[in-house]
Amino acid sequence: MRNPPLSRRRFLAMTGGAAALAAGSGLLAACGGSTAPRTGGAGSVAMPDYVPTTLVTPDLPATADGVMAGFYRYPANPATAFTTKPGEGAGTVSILTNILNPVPPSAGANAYWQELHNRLGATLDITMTPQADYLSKLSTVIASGDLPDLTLISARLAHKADVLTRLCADLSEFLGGSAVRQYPFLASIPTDAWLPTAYGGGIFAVPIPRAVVGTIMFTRTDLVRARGLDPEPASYADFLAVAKGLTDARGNRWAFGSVKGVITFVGTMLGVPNVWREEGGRFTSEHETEERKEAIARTARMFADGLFHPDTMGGRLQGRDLFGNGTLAFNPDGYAAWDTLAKTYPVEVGATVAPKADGGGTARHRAGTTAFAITAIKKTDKSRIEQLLRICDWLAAPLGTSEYMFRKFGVEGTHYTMEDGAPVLTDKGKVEVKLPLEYVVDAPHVLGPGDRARVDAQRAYQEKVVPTILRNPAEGLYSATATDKAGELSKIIDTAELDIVSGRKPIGHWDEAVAAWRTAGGDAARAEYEKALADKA
Amino acid sequence: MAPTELAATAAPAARGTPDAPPPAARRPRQASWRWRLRRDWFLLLLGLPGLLLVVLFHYVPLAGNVIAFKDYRPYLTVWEAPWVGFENFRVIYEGDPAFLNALTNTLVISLIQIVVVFPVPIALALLLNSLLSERVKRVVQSVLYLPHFMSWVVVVAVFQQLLGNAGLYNTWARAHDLPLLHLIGNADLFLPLITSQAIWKDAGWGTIIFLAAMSRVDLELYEAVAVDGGGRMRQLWHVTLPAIRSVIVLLLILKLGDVLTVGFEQIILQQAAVGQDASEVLDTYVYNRGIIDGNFGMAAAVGLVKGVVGLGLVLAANKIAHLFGERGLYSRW
Repeated sequence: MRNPPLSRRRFLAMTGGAAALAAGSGLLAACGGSTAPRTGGAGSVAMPDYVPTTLVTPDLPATADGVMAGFYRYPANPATAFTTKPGEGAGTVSILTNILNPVPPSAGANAYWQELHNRLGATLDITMTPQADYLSKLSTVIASGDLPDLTLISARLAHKADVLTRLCADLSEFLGGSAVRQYPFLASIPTDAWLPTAYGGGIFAVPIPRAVVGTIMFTRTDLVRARGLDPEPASYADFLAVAKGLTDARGNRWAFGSVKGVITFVGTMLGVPNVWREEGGRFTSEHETEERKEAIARTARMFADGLFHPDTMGGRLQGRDLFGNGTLAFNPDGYAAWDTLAKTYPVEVGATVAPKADGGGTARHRAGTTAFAITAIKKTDKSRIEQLLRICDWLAAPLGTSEYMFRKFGVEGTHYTMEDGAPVLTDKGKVEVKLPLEYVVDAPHVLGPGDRARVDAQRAYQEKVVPTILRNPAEGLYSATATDKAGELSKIIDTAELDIVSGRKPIGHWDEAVAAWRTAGGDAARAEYEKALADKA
Repeated sequence: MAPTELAATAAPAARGTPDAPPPAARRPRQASWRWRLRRDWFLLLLGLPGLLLVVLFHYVPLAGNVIAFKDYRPYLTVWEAPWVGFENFRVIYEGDPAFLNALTNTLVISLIQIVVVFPVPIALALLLNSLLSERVKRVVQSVLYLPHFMSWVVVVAVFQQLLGNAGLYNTWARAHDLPLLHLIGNADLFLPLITSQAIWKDAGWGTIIFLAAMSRVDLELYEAVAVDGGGRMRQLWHVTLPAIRSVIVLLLILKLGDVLTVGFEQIILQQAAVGQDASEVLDTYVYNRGIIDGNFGMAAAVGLVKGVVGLGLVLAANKIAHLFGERGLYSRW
């Protein structure tokens, strides 16, 4: 038995138990290659080694606290990372994932999809479900007992831990510790992103990594300036003034279109914790804080003042389109949307940094989740898992490889042309290169490559916000209740927020909702986190 | 109304009504059975796919109701899940407020559907039947049928686009300082909204079965009324309505069976806009608690009770129909 390089490994007690004991069993798991899932009780696992890719040197290097690396230009000669077809012999690979853009033409009428099959040496049968309906679709597919080969598991899935450990393959023997080096691009996914894939002593999925910066309040800076408003509000009052100044119902424009996004943003100004606050081993949920209640009350006042799009409550607004055409002036979205928005709409996309509510500097911004979601592999035999992981590895090939260029832009000449060293999608490319491959597996994000001014703006935003970043103290701790009941618990909160903000219920209703949340599992989750933290120490 | 449900339920009923054997076929019982098989084999063959469909998609899944008594988890098979007795029924017998809210909403919507929505196709059919010009009738019918073929997603989207708070009218009204219509996303107007949607979408389609019944009326009956000096109202009252009475009763019985089922798709699509208090019905409750929250057992228990209540109502209504001398859904004779 080879002695594993302990120093490079990160041992994590996922479900509690003495750290020493946990580390010991993790060693066993890694060396013995045991695939038996161990649910409940103490378990630990050797997380995959982190071997960042060295294919390209960024123009703006990443920082230690999590500001993303930036690129102004595409690498001139992308390397071809795979000499063989990664999916050779895999036949048809069924995939279930979500999609955020219109569904592309089917494989038969999509040259990009056909070329993808050709390059992979396998056929991808992708079921694409709109993100809003994804949880229902996923739950139904799981209940049907017929999982596809690769399934995107959303964080809010009920009984997530059990679904993963019982229905999905334990990947520890393939990815744990140094084993992941066989899949170099999966190895370049940072360790933090792997945390949500580990349950009961095994790794049960591949994460879709995300940077720490999280959700951004995208702002139509052009509109702000055109109205002579301040694009850098210094307090809540300033922000409110900007929102009011932008709203013009007669001109079909409103400041906001997302209740949740505004509550979170106002909450950031008021100092609401990121999901949990931990003080001396005691956990307090963000929902239990006065600041959060105040954030909801203020959002409700904004709603009453008509700052929200009138159809906000239906929850089916196409936020990006409405932002692009000027119906919405603010649109909170993941940081990755910055490029998408800027490339899709001919408008100036900016971002508003949350000030402290009463002024006096930048508020502490919430860290984003380390993974958008995770992709699990159905339980199957070893060689099939290896094939599927090779495909995942291919899908994670980063900037600087020809695989990346193909994944993002298709075939040069057909789907894109190089103009000034940057790929520009052709009309065919805009239609066909829309497969949601980035929601199966993806390389860690970087800023750009793109327009220097945009990359600089994004970088400036991150340099301002990332140093303030507020992490979720429960990240890396495991609570069965929080995992399994994520959907139910969020629903209680979301429903109450909508009821209050829409004016259907008074702000006092919030206390009832929080009580219901505590009974439904909030208190249990708190206890589990507190125990997990105590066990870890 | 859902004609497919009608067809599915009516078909076995029709099969279950044994035609009196023709007098010529007086043979020993055994032979009679075989003889009839030989005579009807083709008809039976035609009925077979339908029967298979009903068994496969209506009867076999009934066995799945067993999870109402189990702590079912999607990653376990039905057999592995532990038995929990009536634990899943607690929301019902302990009266979980969310369940009671869903039940109340369901009953209110159902009542409105029976009182307001159900008679509309009948009135419409009478109206159509009184049209003399065959051409006009066909055009009107086609226009009325059309919405039935749109899915609820489209219907809801059309209402949203036209009457939504940022829809066609309100955008225009806002630009011209006219009063706004706050119809969609208004919890107080949710009931009238879904009722009018249901009428707009399906009333035309619902007329088909009544028109068919009316077309069977012997013209001589109308003539007889005319001869006796009766006007149009008399004809309506003494000929047309009695002719379609059995169909009305049949559909009403079926409707009663559906009393706890009030249009899942239509409501879930519009739920977020008005909140759960106004819009949660049993079907959405089962979906939200079962599929979304992962409480499959509890959702199945509620669904099971719903089914049992529906069955009870159908049987009771059928019994009452028999007492009034109607054939009802099925009959013993």
